Amino acid sequence: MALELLGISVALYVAASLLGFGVLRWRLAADLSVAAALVAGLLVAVTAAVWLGGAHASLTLPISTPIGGLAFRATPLAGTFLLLSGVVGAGISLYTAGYAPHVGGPLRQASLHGLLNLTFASILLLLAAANAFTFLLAWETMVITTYALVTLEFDRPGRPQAALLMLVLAKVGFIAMAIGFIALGALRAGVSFAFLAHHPTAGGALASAAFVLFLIGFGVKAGLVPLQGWLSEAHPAAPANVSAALSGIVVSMGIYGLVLTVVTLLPSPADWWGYLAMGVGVLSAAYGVLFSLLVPNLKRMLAYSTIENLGFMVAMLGVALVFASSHQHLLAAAALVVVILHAFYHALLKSTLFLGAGCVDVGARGLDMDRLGGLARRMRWSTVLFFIGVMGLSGVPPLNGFQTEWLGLQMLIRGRVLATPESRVYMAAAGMVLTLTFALAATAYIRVFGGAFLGAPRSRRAEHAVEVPITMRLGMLVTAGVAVLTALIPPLGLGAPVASVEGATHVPGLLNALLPPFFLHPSQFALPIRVGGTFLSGILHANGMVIVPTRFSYAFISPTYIFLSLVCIIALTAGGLRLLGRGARRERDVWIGAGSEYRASMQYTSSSFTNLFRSTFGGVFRDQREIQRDYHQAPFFTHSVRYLRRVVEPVDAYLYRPVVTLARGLSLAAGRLQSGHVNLYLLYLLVVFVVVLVVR
Amino acid sequence: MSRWIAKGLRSGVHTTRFPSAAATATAEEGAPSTVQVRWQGLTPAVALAASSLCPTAALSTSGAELAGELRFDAGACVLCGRCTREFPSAFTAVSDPRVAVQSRDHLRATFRWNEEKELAPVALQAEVAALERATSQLFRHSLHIRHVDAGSCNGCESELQMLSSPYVDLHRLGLFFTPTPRHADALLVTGVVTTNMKEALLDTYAAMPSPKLVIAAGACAISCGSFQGSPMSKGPLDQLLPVDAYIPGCPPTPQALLHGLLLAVGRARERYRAGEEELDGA
Amino acid sequence: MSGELQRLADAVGIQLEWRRQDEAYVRCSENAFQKTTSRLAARATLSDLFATNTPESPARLTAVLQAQGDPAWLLVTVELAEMAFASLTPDVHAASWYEREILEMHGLEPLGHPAPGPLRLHDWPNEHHPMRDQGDAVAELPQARRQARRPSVTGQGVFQLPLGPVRSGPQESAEFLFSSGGEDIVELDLRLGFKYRALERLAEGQTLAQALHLSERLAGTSAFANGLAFTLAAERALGVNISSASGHARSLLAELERLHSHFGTIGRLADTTGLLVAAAQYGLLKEEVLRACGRLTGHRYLRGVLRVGGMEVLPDAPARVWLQSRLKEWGARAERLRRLLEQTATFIDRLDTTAILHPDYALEHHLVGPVGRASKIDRDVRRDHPYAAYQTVDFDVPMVGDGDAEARFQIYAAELTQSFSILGQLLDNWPAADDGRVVIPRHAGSSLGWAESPGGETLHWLELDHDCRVVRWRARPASVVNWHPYAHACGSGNNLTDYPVIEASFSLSPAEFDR
Repeated sequence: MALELLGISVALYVAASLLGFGVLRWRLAADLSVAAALVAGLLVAVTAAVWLGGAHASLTLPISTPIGGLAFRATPLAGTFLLLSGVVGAGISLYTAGYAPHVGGPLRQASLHGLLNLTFASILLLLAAANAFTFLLAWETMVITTYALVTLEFDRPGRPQAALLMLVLAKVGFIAMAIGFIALGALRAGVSFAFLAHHPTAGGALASAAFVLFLIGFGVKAGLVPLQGWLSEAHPAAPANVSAALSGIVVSMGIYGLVLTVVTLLPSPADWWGYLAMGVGVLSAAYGVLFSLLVPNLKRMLAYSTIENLGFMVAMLGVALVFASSHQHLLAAAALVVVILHAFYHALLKSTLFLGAGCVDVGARGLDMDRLGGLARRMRWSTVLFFIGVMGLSGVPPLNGFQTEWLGLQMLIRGRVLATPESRVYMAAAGMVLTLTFALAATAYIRVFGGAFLGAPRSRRAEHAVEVPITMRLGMLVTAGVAVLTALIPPLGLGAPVASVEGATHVPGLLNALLPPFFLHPSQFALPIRVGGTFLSGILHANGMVIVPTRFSYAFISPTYIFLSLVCIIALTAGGLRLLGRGARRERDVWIGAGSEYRASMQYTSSSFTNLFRSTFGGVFRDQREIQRDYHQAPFFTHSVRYLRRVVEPVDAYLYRPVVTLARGLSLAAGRLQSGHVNLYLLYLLVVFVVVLVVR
Repeated sequence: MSRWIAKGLRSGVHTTRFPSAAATATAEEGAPSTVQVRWQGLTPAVALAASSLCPTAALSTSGAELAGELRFDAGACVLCGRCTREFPSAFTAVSDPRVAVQSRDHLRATFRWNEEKELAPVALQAEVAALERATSQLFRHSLHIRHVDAGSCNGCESELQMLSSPYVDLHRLGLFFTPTPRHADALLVTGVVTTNMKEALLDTYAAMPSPKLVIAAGACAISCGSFQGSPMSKGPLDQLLPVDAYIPGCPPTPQALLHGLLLAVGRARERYRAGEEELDGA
Repeated sequence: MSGELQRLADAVGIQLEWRRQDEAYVRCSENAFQKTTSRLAARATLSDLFATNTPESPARLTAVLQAQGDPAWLLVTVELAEMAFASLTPDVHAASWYEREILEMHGLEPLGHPAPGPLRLHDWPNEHHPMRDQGDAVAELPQARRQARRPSVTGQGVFQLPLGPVRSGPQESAEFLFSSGGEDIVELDLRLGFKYRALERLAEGQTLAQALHLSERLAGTSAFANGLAFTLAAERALGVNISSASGHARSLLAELERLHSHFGTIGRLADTTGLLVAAAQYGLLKEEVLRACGRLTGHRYLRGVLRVGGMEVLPDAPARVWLQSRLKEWGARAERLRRLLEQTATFIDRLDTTAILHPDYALEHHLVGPVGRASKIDRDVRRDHPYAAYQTVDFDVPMVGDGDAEARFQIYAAELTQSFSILGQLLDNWPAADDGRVVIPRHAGSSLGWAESPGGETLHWLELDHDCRVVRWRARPASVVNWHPYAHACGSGNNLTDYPVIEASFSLSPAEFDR
């Protein structure tokens, strides 16, 4: 049942892909392709529910090679990732119906439909992979299709280079992954993940090497510094729906890969694994958020925000490993829940944001936030849906980001159960940096929303922005709606990751530890709580609507009740003002001191809003300021001034460029071997012949 | 920083008790707030001489001696001191700072000589009855003032800045200056309204929400003062906006300004009337 | 007479015509004016450049120069035949704003001026020139039509912050348009002229007394200094000498005005850096000085005290004794406050390196007053061209070289100390009273008049007809010069949060500039 549903979904996606390529011949094919993909997405969500329910199934195809065969299985761990793939996929597919015409002509649209659905199909196969060979095969398919998608608009400047960088880093990751699997002995015929889970490699150098290799390998997709360069280049370069797929689903595969290998295949971690993962994660989070505060391009900002969120996820994975190595299994499982929960929420919300960025690109024909503004009045629905994404990811209660950030920090606080003072200090330090990161992330999102959507339009294009087609908005509504629903009903939101983690780690009582069964005995509580307790109890195993960070102590939150209170307060205030307010409203010009006429340039831009951070953290990216003046005859008679501000991205400048330069140099040097002279080649042959004779 | 706190505490309280009845601030000031005409016994010769001295035509005569008129406008008096120095019996400097009025006519007085060469005041046309200021009740104890400099010489601004000095301290009376007209209850205008500032002034007035008060401070705002006849003057203020209180002076002293502000919100009473010697009883 | 001016004239190759002991004239032809004045201004200071429009001289330009160390003034005039002249600005940057004013007020075009935009009459139609228009045209000068101004700064994320003309507290009207990248001031677009009251035009045809009255109403915080400069011009034009008691009284009151102005300035400076106690203490001092002025003269801002030929009011002996005791007390308090301020790190740090005005820049623009002295411009008319009773007192002219806000603060504080010393000397050596009113002759004449206002050198020029009525009155208070470098000083690496400190440290008056 579990795998059959998956198979049907895969088939539907492949069909959608073929129909997509058929757009070249047949106009109607686009709608059919979208419809097929939509159905597939919904089916995937149902499949995920089945998998999360605890179904275990497996299927081995008769194709076999020396390094393994094609085998698939259904696991609860993959269930949450399957769920997010399905929902986000459905949203993106619906969005593509309206967005594809803006990408280009029939050839591009066909490629878009076709390749996107192939990507989804390959992701499904990836999640169902039962051994390393299948896993790597599906992974490579995904890499190739996403590369092709990123180069879709290859005629725009910088796109091919971005895609190439993505490909190169993906290759680096693939190699690391493959070697890791080899180290564990997974790339052999007949060895499946289940087998390895039951016969784990004993600790020691091999396991540690495998861990580091997996960290590098999946770290590429998971945007860990210093392998994150492709993220900030490829996500802005791709069309919006592809960026949403990349930031939503593909990077989540990196997290899935990490959890799968590190948690299930290497179950007895050394403590330094956790510290390493935490360090790298926190570093990536800080790196991502700093740049998200600076860049004026909307999509680049979202890409850096993805790096920040992924860093947080990997840091929490590190926390889980630290707890696991100290035999605090419940806490480790809880930290793991945070990882997967954040992956789930992030996928939903970031894809909403990227789809929203696509709406801005289509509606206002530009992504430079310093030249947007005033879109809230002209693109109402896009604004509202984008705002949901912003609210969710900026960590404002009661929505998604707040829940996971709060849970994550609570887990770090629980680091006080650790034995050594160094580890406790490390946990606290990580907590401090993460808290700063969250605050800066909130600032970055305020900057984005305020700069692009609020205020007055700063350019003609923003002035003439139009709302986007209904399908695009509906696509965003799917992802945003699911995000809000799962945030406000904790059993829905938390339920999936908890089921995944229980399936992966077999820690008992995890759900009750995080979502206590307050309301299974409703008569002991007052009416409002009873209402919450029985709500949805027929549909879900509704423990209650209150989240606690393991073992009820002094901290708990209830997103549902926060939301209801907010609604009441706002309704009361608005209603009260409406009743009590008197007098007609008058409209007047903006007050700027009664001087010259108001211009849209007289408002903060998104770059100037965060100028302070540019100065404060200037050391990190070598912030430089230059003012150039044009004047008549003497600097006193200036008639125009140019203000230039430059930053340097450290990883790009100090790692990638030197590596590229070195590689070029080496290959040039090696190239001298191929001089083109036949005599020299004959000499080479002679030397090799002699060497072989001698060695033999 | 603690040294500053200690210094402030040591220097004690200097704030005047004005406007409480006990302190009508005569010796404190040392400078007059406006001028009063002692018209009983004023001869035409003195009147003529004084009006030829007056630089702003606050004192002006017209007509032949026996049928002549003397017009006195305290709103145009710039305290140059010429008439009070030359003819101290006829023109006295008023040192009581409570000189603000609510009606422009209260600053004007006209006198006519009869056949016996005696001066008598001419009743002005039907004075506007005591104006009902329903709005003034709203801001009684908390008034937010938006000041606009519509072309002053910066003397009035200097006196307005002295309102925040510890001697006067307008905050203790619930009076505040606000930077935005959206939060303002009263518009305080200084300066003859110049051509270049007229639009800005009217925009500021329009940007204030009703109910609102308008206060003209200084001779320039009330009557164009020294700049009568300037081609750049579009005032006086009451040609452009409805004025609720007038504060004469050039510049008006800080306590006169306080009195004017309190008068506008109904916490003080008018005590000066041009041509009437005794100020209204307490 | 140091003869510096004569040497300068010989070096440039012109013939001086000495009308008075300390006023020399040169009449140039149209071709020679630009070259002569530029060469003179390279070695001397250009103190003023203005146009005159009378029936006899419909288009006359006058440049006023002074040489370091010479108490004499040099006036270079030229009668223009056309409504245009060769601009001095390319060689003498200090002439820039003077020429713009000449263009907008008189319609004489400076050819070759790099940026001849309006100075006070922004958004006006070009055919109106208030000092030249006649009849109806002058009676009904047009409404300014506010127009949107294109920002001159481009760059990623640059935005504009408009301030004014209606500003935050009880402040004068002026418009500042900042261009900022976020925290810093990239460029300041300054617009003055909102308070233009056409005083110079209003004074034409008035009697001396009336014009003196107008000169006192030009500004409030430098009312006495402007009145004093006017009175000096009138007395020199008519050849009137004043009694030494009047001279002492004039110096006394001028120094009292300097006291209250500097107390106000330092108080505002402390306020902008958050030292409310210091601001309150200086406020107390300023109010006490104002009350003393009121008690001595009957007007807090010393208006109505001056008369051409003498003083309306002379302080009597009891008043002088009272004043002496008050001065001692004020001096002690001011000194304690100054020391306390210098030890307050939050104050000094905010002022240090804020709004630096480099000495070369100051020299190029011929700045005056405390702002100039903080940038190494050693000029003070009380010392260089003594008037009233300043010959009889000893005082220093403090000078600092940094040019930042802290240097200006040091100058204000040091000038206060010097003022107290001058006042003490004046009161100690008060001459016998002499109340014989001087007879003012009635004939034509013209002359310069000057005074050191709290903001710096104030220069007036007065031309009277045979009926002793004003033909041309030119007022050039200190702020007319010192607003020049303001935008430049704001833009050199300062933050928006520094702006109130900058404005308080310069202590400039839009009213003085606009007239």
